[in-house]
Amino acid sequence: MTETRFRRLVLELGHGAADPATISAAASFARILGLDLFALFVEDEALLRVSDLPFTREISPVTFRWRPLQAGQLEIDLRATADRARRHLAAAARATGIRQSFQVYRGDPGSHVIETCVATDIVVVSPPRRVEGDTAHGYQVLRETARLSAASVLWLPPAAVPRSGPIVAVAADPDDPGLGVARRVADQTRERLVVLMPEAAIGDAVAVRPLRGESLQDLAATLDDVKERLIVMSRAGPLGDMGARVSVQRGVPVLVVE
Amino acid sequence: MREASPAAPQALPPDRLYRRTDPAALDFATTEEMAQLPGLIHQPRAREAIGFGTCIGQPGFNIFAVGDTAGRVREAIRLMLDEAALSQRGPPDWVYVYNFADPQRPRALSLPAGRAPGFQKAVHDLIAELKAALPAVFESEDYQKQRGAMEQAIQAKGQAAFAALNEKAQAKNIAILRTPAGFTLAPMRDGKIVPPADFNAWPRDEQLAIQQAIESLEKDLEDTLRGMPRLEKETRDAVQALERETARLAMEHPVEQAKADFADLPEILAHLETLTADLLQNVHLFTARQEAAADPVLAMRLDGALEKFEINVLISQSDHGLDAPVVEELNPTLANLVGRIEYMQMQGALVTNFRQIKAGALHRANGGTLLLDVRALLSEPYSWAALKRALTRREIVIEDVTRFIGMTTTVSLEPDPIPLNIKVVLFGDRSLYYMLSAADPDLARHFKVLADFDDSFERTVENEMMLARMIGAMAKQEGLKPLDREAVGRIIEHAARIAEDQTHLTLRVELIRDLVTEISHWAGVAHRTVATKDDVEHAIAKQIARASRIRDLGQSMIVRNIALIDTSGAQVGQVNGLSVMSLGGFAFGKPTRITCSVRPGAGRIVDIEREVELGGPLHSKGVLILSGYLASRYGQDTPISLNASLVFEQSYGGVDGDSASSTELYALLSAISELPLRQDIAVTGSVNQHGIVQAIGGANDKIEGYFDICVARGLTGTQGVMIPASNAQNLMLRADVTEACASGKFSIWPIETIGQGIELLTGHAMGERGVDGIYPEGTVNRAVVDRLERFARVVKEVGGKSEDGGKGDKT
Repeated sequence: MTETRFRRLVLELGHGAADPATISAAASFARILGLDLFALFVEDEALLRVSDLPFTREISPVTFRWRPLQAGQLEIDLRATADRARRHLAAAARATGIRQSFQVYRGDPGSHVIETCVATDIVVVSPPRRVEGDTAHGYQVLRETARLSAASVLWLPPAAVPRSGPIVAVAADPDDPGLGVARRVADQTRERLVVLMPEAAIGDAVAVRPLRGESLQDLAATLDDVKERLIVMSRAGPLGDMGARVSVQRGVPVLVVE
Repeated sequence: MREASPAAPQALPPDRLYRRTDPAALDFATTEEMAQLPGLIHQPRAREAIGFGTCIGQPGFNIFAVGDTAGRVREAIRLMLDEAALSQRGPPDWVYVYNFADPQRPRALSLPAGRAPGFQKAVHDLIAELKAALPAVFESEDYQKQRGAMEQAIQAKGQAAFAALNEKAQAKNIAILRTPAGFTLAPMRDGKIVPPADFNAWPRDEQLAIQQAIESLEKDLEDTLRGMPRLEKETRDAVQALERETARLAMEHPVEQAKADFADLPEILAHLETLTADLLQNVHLFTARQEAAADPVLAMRLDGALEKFEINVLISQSDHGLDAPVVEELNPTLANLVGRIEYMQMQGALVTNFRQIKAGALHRANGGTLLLDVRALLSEPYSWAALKRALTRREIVIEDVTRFIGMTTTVSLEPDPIPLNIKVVLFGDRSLYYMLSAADPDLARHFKVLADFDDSFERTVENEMMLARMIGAMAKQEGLKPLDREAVGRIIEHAARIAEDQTHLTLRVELIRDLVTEISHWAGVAHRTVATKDDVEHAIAKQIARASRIRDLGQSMIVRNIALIDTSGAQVGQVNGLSVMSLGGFAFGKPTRITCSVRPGAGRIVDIEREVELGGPLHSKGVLILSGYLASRYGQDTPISLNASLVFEQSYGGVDGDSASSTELYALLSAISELPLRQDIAVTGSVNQHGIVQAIGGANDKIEGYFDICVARGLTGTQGVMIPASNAQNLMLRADVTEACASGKFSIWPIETIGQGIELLTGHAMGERGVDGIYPEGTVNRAVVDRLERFARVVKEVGGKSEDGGKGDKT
């Protein structure tokens, strides 16, 4: 079994994830996993260009008033949003005692994430805690990008993150790279480790629960009596391409290891 | 009574100058073996008054205790009140709590005696428990899941609407984009936003179609967004309801626990109900504490907000037992009397809350007795008026002095008044009582009971023994050395000296206590375990020595002939008077030369002291009596053609009292008769119009004052002091004086009439009219009448015109 040694937790804040709850949850995970938290705020160039079209307008969800979309105003608003995100990040880092850095870029958010993230990174993807939810264009782009990047992905649930509970590892076999990561998190948090594995792969291993299928329902049935705080799986393993949905269904963060 | 024929006065025998204690009557060896005498001795009148005042419950029957000094009254009354308090039941406790309906008016609640701290602790523990329990409940998996599910269910409705809109937009190749300030719509192709340059290159009709589609979708987007606040409110309401229900369940047990001990107190239970209801409305104050961990300002604000649930124990009987309190306020400022509201500085502003309400003496003494020194009370602005207001209203209202004078503009509190059921005991010296009762009619309304403390009590064998037991108790209580019988006997004699009466003992307990303390000290210095009579003598001598600098200076001035006092020879119109000076509690006698000059005139006696406004009213009265005496004795047939001037020589301060009036009369008779007066005799005593010599005060000090001068110049054996005969019973003279008298070196003459005195001073009898109506030759009266007749002739010759037209006492 080869275990990936992670270096950074990468958090993209430009698509609307700059809310304090998401930043705080990311900072907590950085502390648990012993990682630095790197936040990047990408000013979406496509959005800035849209303002060149004469008919584009924006509506405020607070006042419901329309106003022309102007490049100058948009830039000011983006800077203010970035500043707010920077302050939240600094406060969360102070509270958890982690190291953090923050960078502002301009361009295509997806491309920047792909360029920035390497195999030793974990990229955080959190659905906006706003009315548009996971239908938001920026979130959809980031979700797709995360899947394409070389980094592992930490899917955060839309609701609050549990603060205690066992760590669940969904492994393909005893050599699954996710298993080592899950064990390390369990040690770090002093939580119980629950390992799920396809029945065929279990062999002689004890204290492993058989995973009878690869659907969300199978997972729910297997974890019926467990209130976990984190699920770790590998992308190549069972449910590896369903991290986002598992996170939403279980209401817990899901770390999908490359 | 008129002046009768004088019998020659005899000097008093030594046993009349001092009354010793009979050692046989003191049946103990040292005070250690005596039964203790706790509390107060004697004072039946004051004891009865205080007993009456403390028992009667009607308003206005407060007590005004008076005596010769406030200190002594305070000590005595304290003893009596402590005895009375033991038999009374304790008053209730009082707390101030937050008024949830009107925060500016904190509520006052009463609890049975001693239970307020328990209430305070119960509520404090409740809040502390909720601080830990509520965040845990709200962070629990169950709550979070319930809340998440609830939020998701409602948000799902919004997201569904948004998803439908998004689908519609995508079908028309339009993207809904999030901007920092809201949403916008943009043309899309192959899942990507179309750059403006590409869009502008599109055919015109395609551009228009997209624009129309965007316009149409803008309306849908606006409608969708406008539907969101309703959903958000729905979410908020649902979450709040869940929060409240969760909190209610979490609080149920702790609140019931807090209530358990107060099931018998409906008012307290009602407050706990109100508090619980408010807690349910303010659950966020507990749940926000996690965020506050990283934000000190928020933490402080949350702690401040939680303060309103706490209890301010204003008064509890638990800290002094459950007897009725007896409280003395030494510094009765308005705030110390009626309580105060304190302020804290917070970010430059003065703020306060119900927990800053502090009790005053009225609160502490409520249900019991409050002792106040009336002098201290009257010295404090607003305090006397505030006390009267409280007694009138029968409730304590906290009054802020800064508001009276417009110094504070900060928003303050108006706490509930607290019902007042109190016995106020004012104490002070008598003069203050009489002054205040004359100046303020309210005094009689609020202080109907006068407790007048006696200054002395009769000196019987039983009472001497009682005083001895009190001395023993003092020594024991204060941890002083025991005293032997002779020492106690000497203290009893000193008590008679303080009372200035052979037949009475002083009740100025504080003076006796001070003396016993000093005796113990000197006994220690002499390495004695039991104090003896020598230690008593030493202590008394040292007390006098410490205070006698001014006396010694005065005596030195006389001995060095700076202040002129003759102690031998004889002079016309000149006599040695005696006065008493009292400085800082130490009194001493001081001889003063009094002179008189006479001349023909219209019958006026000029009191020079009064002319220069150094004479007090009593002194002036004495001089007027002299006029009456002259007129009745010598002016029956013809007006007295005399002007006389009387003066206290080398006296530069005020003179008052009539104790020198007989002295002045002797000087006057001498000046008129031209018969010289003996200068080796000093004189004291007042006189009435009929020539009867009357009692004066300070006889002992006066005698000793003159004796000291004579000793300094050398006792001749002829020297002495004439005192009113009625003052003989007041004599408790120093040992050296009585010894000098016993050995015939000094004399004390008791004088009943002016005739006796003048005969002793001049060697001439006063003289009685013969059957012919004429006084015999060689008598004082004859000399006076002859001189007055000469003056009358002179006056007649010059037309009866007075030499001076000034003020005088016409005879």
